[in-house]
Amino acid sequence: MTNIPEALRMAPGVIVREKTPGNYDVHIRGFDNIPSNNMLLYSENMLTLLMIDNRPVYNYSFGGTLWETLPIEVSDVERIEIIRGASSALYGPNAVTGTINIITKKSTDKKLVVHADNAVGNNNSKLANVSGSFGVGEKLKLRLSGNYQWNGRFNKDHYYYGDGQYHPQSFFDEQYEEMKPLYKVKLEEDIYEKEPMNERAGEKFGANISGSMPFSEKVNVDFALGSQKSVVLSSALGNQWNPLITRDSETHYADLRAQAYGFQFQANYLFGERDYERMSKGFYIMEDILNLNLEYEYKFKNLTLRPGVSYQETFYDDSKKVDAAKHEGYLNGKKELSSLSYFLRADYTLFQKLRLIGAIRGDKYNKPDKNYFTWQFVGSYKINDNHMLRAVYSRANRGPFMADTYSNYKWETIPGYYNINWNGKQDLKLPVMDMIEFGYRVKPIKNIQAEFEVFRNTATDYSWFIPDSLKMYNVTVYPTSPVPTPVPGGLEGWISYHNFDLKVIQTGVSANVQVAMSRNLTMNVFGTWQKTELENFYPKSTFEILNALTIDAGTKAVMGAMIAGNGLPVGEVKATNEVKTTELVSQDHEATPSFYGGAGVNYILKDKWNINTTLYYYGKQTFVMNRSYSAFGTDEISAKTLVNLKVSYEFMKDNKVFVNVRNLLDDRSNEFAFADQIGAKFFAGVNLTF
Amino acid sequence: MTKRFWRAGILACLISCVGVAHAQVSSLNVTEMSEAQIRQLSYNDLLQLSLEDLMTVANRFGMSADEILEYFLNKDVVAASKKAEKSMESPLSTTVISKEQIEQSG
Repeated sequence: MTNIPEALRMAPGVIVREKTPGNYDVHIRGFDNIPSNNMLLYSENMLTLLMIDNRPVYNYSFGGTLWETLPIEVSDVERIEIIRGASSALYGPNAVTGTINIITKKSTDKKLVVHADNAVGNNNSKLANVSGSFGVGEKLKLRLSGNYQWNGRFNKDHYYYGDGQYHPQSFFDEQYEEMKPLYKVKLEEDIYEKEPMNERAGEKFGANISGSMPFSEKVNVDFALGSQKSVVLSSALGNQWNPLITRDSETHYADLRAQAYGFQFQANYLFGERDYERMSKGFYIMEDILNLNLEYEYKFKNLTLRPGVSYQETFYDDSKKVDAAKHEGYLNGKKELSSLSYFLRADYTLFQKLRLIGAIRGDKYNKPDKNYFTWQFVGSYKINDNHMLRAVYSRANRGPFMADTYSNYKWETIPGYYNINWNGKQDLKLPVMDMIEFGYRVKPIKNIQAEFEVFRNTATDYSWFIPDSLKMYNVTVYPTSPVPTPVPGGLEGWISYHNFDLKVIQTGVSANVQVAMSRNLTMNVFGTWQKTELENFYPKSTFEILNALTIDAGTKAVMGAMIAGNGLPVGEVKATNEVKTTELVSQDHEATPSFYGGAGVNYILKDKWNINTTLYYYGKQTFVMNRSYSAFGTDEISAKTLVNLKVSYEFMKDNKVFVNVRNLLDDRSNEFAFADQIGAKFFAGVNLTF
Repeated sequence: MTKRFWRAGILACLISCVGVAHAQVSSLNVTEMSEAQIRQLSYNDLLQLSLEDLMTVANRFGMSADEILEYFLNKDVVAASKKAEKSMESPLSTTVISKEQIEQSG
């Protein structure tokens, strides 16, 4: 696997789509594109918690994981643990559909060992990872690592919402020129220099130092420091014309983990800057994130208690690059989201067969100013060493986001004439998910391990933005035929975030079978079948509502003019949108494939050759978003089968050469709505150890 | 049962030993290695051993060749219970992707 999100294709229950080469969308058990018919942003996974060595790595602006901003790469990974299902009682907010914890490699040896993994591929792609581990003094062990990637695109053009086609950069340059005087779009001055290189899907760099220091048998300290810098052509926000935009990030982190006499303490701090949409003003932020966590493990016979407290503080500030007085940014200043949490986990084993686990957690947020309680109750029964049954009932909630909470952005659609006020809400209810899950693990024979899980998830308290009202100023009504024409002297709209009565119900089943024929031949096959239904969904799109409001306000102006007399200015009229329960619909949700899964075989030949093939499949999906050009807001993503092959030869102990082909069948279809073609990637490289 | 736990502990230790003692294994001679050195061996190193050497390791830790197969299937997972346990016993829906899987597959 050439990068971390791609590696997640080896686990059941994970949907991984490549947006542009090297840039991914990852969802656990779906819940993607909810609400549909809204902005592309809502295709991001806002419900999964990603951690690196238990340090949350999350985008607090509007949710989602910016995978390219991880400072580490596959070569730093010891293992990736994936927990499917609602588990915020264990890990805190955002662990709603699941949790991904990446455990990094640690140095265990005092001698200096240097590793280098390098590969070059088609489309000028390059991957380089270097690491060195060594000991300092008697106890301290350090590991230094660096990674670099440059990923090339298959197509050099971009999707255009205007006509649903892909066009070269020159087409967009013309569009921008035309649009500029008309709409005075807030583009950066050096937009042409700043536009993405058409060849490049992304470039990133990361460097890390980690260390481990055992003071005594009972006291141990681990730490990590690192930085990353990245620029990618990917989606999340999109702009008026393109779904793909250029996103920049430069962040630095420090993480400390200490264990002493049953206590576990972790503190980490991240700071840096990001520009979510390089081309438009207002999406640049500086961030500061602090996490503190203290837990204690207390054992009494068969009972283990684990109480803890946690504090999280996030500051985002966009004032450096916007005029806050003009509301050019979405925050227009430094904003804070924080939470104080307390939790307890009890784990009890009876007769070494029955295990009962209960976890509860309270999170007190500053916004919304509320306490949220989440829980997890688990019962597992070990029939014998080869059979295990388990059941889970849990509740999890998502944390708040900056944009949803604090937005006060003035979108000058036509400056001086048409403004839209974009407002967050500080007391939005946070999305909550309840899960019931049953699982069975079995080892039918010594070299097979299989697991099955059946789940039902119910999510409520979703929130998203819709237009509230529209005001027309100084309207003049002209007596045109057949109907009079109202012409406003100015327009002002209000868009804000609201909670909806939407209920998302998902049922599904996953299976995973692993086989070790011998130490030379191992294989696995897995898959997930699932169905998602929406109840009480408010399906109206932003543009639909804005159009209705315009007609409504215009009609009011005409009525006013008829009363006041022909041709007279009417003053101001206002139309307001109300969500009526009669407008709510229930429907099947088709943005998540009903089946996805994979398989893999690894064969070691004569101890020197390693032959590995993996397969990943997802079924058809329909992605729906909303544009003013509504005809081009739907993208059917066809089923895709990705076959990968890696052959490596060990010419010397721990030194290998390899060839690696991703998407061997060269199915060039786009995996994500409106995004890039993803064809076959070829790499040749070396893994060296000194 | 205690013995099983002890063995499981050794297995866990063998698997979870990280950072590979690459330098020292340029020529693996398990018969001459100390117990501590063997514990430093990574999964990858174990893969490199001949069956004979593997049996030597297994015997020294009182394991059968079958139990060695466990390495491939029943991986350690920490996240689900905040302590290391076998994936077969994890109370939650868990999957572990190991560094070996990542390296072998791409």
